[in-house]
Amino acid sequence: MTHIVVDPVTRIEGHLRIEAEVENGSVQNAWSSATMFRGIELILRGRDPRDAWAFAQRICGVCTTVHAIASIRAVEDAIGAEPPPNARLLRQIIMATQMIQDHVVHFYHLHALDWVDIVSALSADPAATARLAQSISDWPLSSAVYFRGVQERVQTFVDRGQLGPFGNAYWGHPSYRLPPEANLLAVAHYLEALDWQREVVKIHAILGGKNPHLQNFLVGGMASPVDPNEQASINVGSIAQMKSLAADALEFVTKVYMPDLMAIASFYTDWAAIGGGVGNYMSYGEYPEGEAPNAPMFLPSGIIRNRDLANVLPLDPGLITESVTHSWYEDRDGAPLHPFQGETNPSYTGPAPPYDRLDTEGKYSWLKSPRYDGAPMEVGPLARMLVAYGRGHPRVQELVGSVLSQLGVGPEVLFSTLGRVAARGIETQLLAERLDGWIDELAENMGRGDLRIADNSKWDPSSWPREATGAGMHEAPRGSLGHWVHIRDGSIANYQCIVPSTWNAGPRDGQGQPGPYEAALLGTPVADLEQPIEILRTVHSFDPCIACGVHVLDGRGNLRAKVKVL
Amino acid sequence: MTSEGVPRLCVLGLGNLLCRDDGLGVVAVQRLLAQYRLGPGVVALDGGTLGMSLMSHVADVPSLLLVDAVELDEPPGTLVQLTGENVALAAAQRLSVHQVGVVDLLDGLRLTGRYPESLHLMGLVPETTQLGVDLSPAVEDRLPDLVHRVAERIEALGFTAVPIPLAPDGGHEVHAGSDPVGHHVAVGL
Repeated sequence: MTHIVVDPVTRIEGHLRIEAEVENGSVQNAWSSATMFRGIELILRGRDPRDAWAFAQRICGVCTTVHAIASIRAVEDAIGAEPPPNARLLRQIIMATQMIQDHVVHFYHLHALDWVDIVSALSADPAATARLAQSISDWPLSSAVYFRGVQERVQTFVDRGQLGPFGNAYWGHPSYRLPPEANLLAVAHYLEALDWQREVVKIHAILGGKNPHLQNFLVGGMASPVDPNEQASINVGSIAQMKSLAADALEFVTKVYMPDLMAIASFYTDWAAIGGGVGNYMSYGEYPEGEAPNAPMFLPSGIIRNRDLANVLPLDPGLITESVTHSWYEDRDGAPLHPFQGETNPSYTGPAPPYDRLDTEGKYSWLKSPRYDGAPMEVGPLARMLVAYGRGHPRVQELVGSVLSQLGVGPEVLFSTLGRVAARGIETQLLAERLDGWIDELAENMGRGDLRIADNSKWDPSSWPREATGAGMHEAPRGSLGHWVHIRDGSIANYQCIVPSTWNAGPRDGQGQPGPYEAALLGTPVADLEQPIEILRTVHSFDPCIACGVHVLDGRGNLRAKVKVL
Repeated sequence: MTSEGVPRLCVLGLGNLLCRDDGLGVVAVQRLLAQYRLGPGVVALDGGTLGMSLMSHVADVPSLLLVDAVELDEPPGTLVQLTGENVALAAAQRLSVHQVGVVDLLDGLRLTGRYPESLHLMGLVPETTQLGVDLSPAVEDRLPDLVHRVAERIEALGFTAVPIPLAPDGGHEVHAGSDPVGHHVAVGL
């Protein structure tokens, strides 16, 4: 038995450490640890709940919009504000754009290099690459001249001696399987996606102004006026621009992302039997298609236990708890708490850095262990697609069926590392197809003269009850995000967040049940203990984002002194 | 915010406002915008910790001036100025607290052929980056100087940054926010 440590896990937001025991070439036991403290809850206490979203959107460096959405929903739930249809549609467009951009960036810039060998791409034959590209898609950038240019561009970059995003990798590792031409094709699209991702988010700029952080969220609705004929509003011109950007996004996803995903996956079908994990999946549901509290969701909510797709159970948020048995927080009596009762009292008892091993028998992570009805749940694109598939979503069933038949495999392979990668692509395709419809609905409302964007009736705190609690749920790109707020006398008495990566990357609970990363790593092959690329493949397939932990790091990556209890 | 097309100079404040001095670059840009009227061709933005997502704001902009917390073995509040290749090297050597975001951003610009012709970094050595929304005394003390130097640099690069006169109460004029529904929008961030 060899104990190995991957720290930090690279190409993610935030700081994640994996410890694993490897025997006979596969992982026998694994522990996932976030070595950064998260403490947004402490910042929000005592503040005006209407301002909470602006603080919450600073939690994470990459997904600002998602925390803003969860926060305003939590406060609206508490005070009873009811956003009008235009606010719902504006949020829908913002959320879907974020999801599409985020998934494409994850695939090409954070995950592809686990499957694609850059060094091999440099030796590819550009003419053969052109033939390959033209055989899988009619995307126009596919000539031999184009691919030779890409090779030269990457070679120039590498020759500078600063590998940048191509550093810290295991180039030449025997588990890279793509032929050089497939590697070059993927590298070309890595570069194209860099430009593409900055185009698609222009939808956010149209809706929320030029500030990189959207400023148009508002408890009760949105602060972006809509008026077809008004220059300073979202008008017919903005609608046309958004429709054009949405069409470009759909074309890129259909002609570049999905064909690449299928081409790469076909070389790695053994990963459909690796990385399964806890086998329980949760989705809060997202994209409400109406105003009523029980309006249907474009992506349905639900719970899957033990991989049973035939019995998707209804979601009851009252069954969510968090335990801190293995987390660096004060643990009064060891009982798991619902987020409304949740506490954030940091108490670091781990080793002083630098250290070789964490005390995995005791406390070993800054993440808590969220559970649903006592069970660990995987969240994210795979969970959402499985819940939608199980509930009979026609387009999801169609897309899943098409992917499975192209790879020549059955639905059982979805519960895997490759299943996670495929589900993210399927979800991107699904949302890129749907986005244009939401823009149309907004335009139709405006055309009918419905220009309402906010419910102002609950703005004044004197209209609120003395005490109120609210929950704001959102399916963010990485999975189920929940904010829970307790308001007393007009200000925040308690605030708790459970972020997607806490569900997925959290440590064992009081019963000793491993979290989804820990379970998914069991049985993962490791060919070379010095280069555990296989561990990265499975962990990256979840799209970790641990930056939601507000960090207490210095520039040299060391944990600073002791964490102070505020 | 410039009104005409693609700006020729982008001043980008970086950092996390929830981590005390970590957010000093963002605070410096907020104060720059409150205290100076920026001339044509200049845009000053609060980039937070967005990293590569900022590409849409800085791609093809000829001059880029980053304002950030910079880790050095110097006393807190020490002013740091770097230009050209030294900015990328400092980022790669993790001198900037936002090494990951800045490195991703600069690499992305280089790989797509949209790297700025002139690149600058100005900042202060932080005292603490622990959780909290206020700056340390050492950084707060030197921040006016940093803002002043950033304005000077804008001028030196051929643009204008004109001080806005103080209002009678000693504060700067406050521009009415674009709050279309007549509510106060979250303050302080």
